[in-house]
Amino acid sequence: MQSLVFGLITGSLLAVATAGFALLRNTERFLHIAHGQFMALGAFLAVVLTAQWGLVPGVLVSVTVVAGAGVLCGALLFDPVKPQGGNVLLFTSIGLAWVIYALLIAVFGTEVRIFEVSLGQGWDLGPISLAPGELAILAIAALVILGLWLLLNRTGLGRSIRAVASNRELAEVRGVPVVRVSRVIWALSSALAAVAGILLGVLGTVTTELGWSNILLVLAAAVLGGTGNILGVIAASLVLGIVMDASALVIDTSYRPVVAFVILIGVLVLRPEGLFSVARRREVAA
Amino acid sequence: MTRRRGSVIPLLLSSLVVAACAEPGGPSAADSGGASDDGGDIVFGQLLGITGDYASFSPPAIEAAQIAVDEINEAGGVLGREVTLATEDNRSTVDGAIAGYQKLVSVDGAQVLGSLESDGIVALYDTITEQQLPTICSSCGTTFLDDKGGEYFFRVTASDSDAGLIAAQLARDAGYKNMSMIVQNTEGASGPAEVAEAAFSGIEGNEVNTVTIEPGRSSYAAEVDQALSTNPDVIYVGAGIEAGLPILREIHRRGYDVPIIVSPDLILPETTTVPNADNLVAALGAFDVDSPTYESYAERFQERTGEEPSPGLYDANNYDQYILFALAMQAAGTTDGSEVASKIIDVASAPGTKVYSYAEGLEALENGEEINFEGASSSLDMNENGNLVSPQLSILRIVNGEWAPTESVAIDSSLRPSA
Amino acid sequence: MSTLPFWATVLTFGLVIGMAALLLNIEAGWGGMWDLGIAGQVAVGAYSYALLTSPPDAVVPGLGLPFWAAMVGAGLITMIVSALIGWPTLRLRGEYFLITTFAFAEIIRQLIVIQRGLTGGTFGVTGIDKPFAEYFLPSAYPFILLGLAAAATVLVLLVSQRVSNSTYGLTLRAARDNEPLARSMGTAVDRVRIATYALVGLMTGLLVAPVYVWFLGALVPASFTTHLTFLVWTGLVIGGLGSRLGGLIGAVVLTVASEAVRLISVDPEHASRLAAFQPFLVGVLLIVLLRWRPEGLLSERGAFRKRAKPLDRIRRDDPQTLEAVSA
Repeated sequence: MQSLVFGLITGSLLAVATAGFALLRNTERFLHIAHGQFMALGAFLAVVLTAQWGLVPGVLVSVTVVAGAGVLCGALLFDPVKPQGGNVLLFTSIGLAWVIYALLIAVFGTEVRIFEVSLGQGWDLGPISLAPGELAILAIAALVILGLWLLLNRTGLGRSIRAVASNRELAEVRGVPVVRVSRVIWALSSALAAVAGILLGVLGTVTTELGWSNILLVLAAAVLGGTGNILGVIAASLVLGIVMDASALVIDTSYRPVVAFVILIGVLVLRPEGLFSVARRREVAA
Repeated sequence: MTRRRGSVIPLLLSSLVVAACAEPGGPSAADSGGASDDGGDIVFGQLLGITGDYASFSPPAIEAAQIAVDEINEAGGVLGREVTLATEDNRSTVDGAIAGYQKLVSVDGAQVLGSLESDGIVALYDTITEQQLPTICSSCGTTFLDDKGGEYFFRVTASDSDAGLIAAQLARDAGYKNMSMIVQNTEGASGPAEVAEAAFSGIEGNEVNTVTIEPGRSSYAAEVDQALSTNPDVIYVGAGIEAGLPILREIHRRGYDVPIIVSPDLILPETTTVPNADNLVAALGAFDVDSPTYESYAERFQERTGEEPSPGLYDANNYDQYILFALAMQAAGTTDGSEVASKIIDVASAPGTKVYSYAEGLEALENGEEINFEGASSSLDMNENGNLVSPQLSILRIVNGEWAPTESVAIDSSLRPSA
Repeated sequence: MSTLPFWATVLTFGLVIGMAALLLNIEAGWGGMWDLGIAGQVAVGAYSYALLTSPPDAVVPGLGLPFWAAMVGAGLITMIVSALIGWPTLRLRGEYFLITTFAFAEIIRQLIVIQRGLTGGTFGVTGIDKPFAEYFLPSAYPFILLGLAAAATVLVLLVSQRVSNSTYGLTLRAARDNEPLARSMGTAVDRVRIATYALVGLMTGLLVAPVYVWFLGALVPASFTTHLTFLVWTGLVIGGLGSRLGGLIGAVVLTVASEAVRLISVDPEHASRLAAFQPFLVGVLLIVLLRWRPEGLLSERGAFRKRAKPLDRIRRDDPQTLEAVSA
């Protein structure tokens, strides 16, 4: 029971991180490796800013700054190479990941940082124990995901984004302002990365390795979720989180990281279109 | 050795040619460990993780090394020559250590090597032995050196076996029977933990439940849950700061209020802020705060950095190793690697006149006396394997928001595995 | 003091990455198989080599074979492991293949950490047998190692050249450019790909991994993270994906440039800024080259322009000539 709760927390954080990654993957059609570094950037900014301006303003400013940085990178670095296809975009993103990583080390140093936020002590709720802070993290993650879902499915902007995702050329012909939509997607995706990074930082610690250590799981969740609906990505993240944490009951905990990847490979080999994909799309990156 | 630093491209080309020429075993450019008593400065090498996992240990280590070098030069240098410090980053990785080592030895011409951490020491063991470079390790506890040191490798800190034994001893002496261990899957953490596990479970009626964690996760809730599932009366956390902090907070969050023995890696200011800080206890090679060497060193350290020396950061050990190098070199009368290395145990250990600074040691050596340098971190007396004979260990707790030594202990050797 | 041994060491590392990049080029550049599992293959080869040479009474016991036998053994083991991994994954295309190989490499690294009885865990394997080390002064050995690395690189280059000029290489590139067409013409695309993957594994275990092991001197799992994979990929992309020599040149430029930073002397307190320069340089090189010279320093088009004229016509825009050439 308890590990289900832990898995839910791990999974919901992963879902927030992966949702942003998947947005870019579905619309701009590339694997945004630097997404992990945007998470780290958000966490570092927030750690510094919350210490000075308090929790809420610090977090808001950090998320906004990261969103702005995302839009800038999208316009200045990624748009010009877009005609060259997903592979060039992918490696531009890897390059950007190295650059952000280097800047984080140069600016913030390599010491471990922590948020001065206490999650409180766990309440005993029958078979499970849940701390107020953990509940808050869960709630924030759920709200963010719900907000994203409403935005995508209940607004005009969301319709435009989905149109671009399903067929960019057609959307353009139909008069969707593709460039503006692309900017919004960059902002959204980067903001989601920042939120995920901050939540991860609050739960654990903030280090310059935060980006690299999370991007693999994000990739795994995104690929498992398939390219269809954002809900597939969220479901995949939750499944990964829960299975990883529940696996501790069955096998040695040192195998925990392996579990996620074994599942990933198993699913891909048996069902190459992802766990929750509706439509099959071949050769996404190639 | 007369070749000067040239531009990059011709060097690249010529090094291929040289490689081909050097093949038949011809004379090579530099016999780095060997004698080079050709005047000029003597270079002390320092190779450590300025970036990466060990980054938080490096600033005080570099300051302490500089304090030692300044002291040596003020007293007139070694063999009448100035000493300079060459510091190189190993990025806390093995390939970084190898490239940094080559740079120090061949470009900077380092005559001795200090500060390198456990994994770099293990990787470079053969190379250093072949090149006969005297190497002192200021912070590495790896059990690898327990029986492999003494010729070119020495250490001025306690071995992981000691750190593990003392953890088991602490738990035993407080009467605990049921220990849960949360251990990170890295060499520095699992080494002492294995010794502790063996020693503690070897005692009649004791139970140990070990949970292994992999660093770099977003949360360790499931692992902690598993560690708590056996209702331990004491918990051991052996992990780096990055995983250790969330684990400590997670234990508190689950409402578990028992003593927690933490590994030396967690004796850092960050851990004093966790809500269950009062439960934490750690054992560490303590600084010998009453020794005159420590007092004089601590004053200079504080002047330079504005902070107190901290056993958890091994700064005094970094100071000690360079004073030892200088004294050994002076005693050997040459910079030749194997000669210098053969003097290190002599100048560090009894018998001999006890000396408390480089100047005192230099004077005694010039008077033809045997010396025994008493360091700032400990007495530095070494056994024939270059390990400390009686590492001073003290028990640290968090007092008024700071890690402070509360009592000192000696290792009960009956806990040692009877091998 | 001489900077030569330092450069010899750096160049040795550059050649290791360069060899891996040349092999990756066969697989990804010509075969279109975007492999993010290089670190895993190198790890399998490296540990195989170390365990085959390590004496039976060492801390991590091995078989105590001479180095050349261990190289052959490591090559075969890596080949078998690669074929086993390739068999289920090569059916996957594009990013699915990419992520699966990524996952396999991570699993291999984790298993090395966990199976400490076999691999020494995070403690690692020490006391590596380096060939001919006993005949030379230790200070000369960096040059010997560079010579060995250069010899190994020549072998890898020969294999790569052979592949590029052969019908097999042609089929590989044809299947990359138009898989359905290649299939419809009776090419056993899957078999060609598995063969390629196994060949890359063989060469990795036989040459790349042993030289890397000699360079490292001791094995720890931390030497086989995704950073190694990214380094190889970056070298190849800088040099030119699909070109004959690009991977080698790109990797050497990359490692030499990033290690040259060490020769800039700075105060220790600025060292962390300096250390950040390496990833910064890698990142900027990637971004800038992809923007203004997306084919890399050397391009595939350039590589096949003179010597293998017919190949140039088998591009995506003109697949019709495939039949004529592969016949």
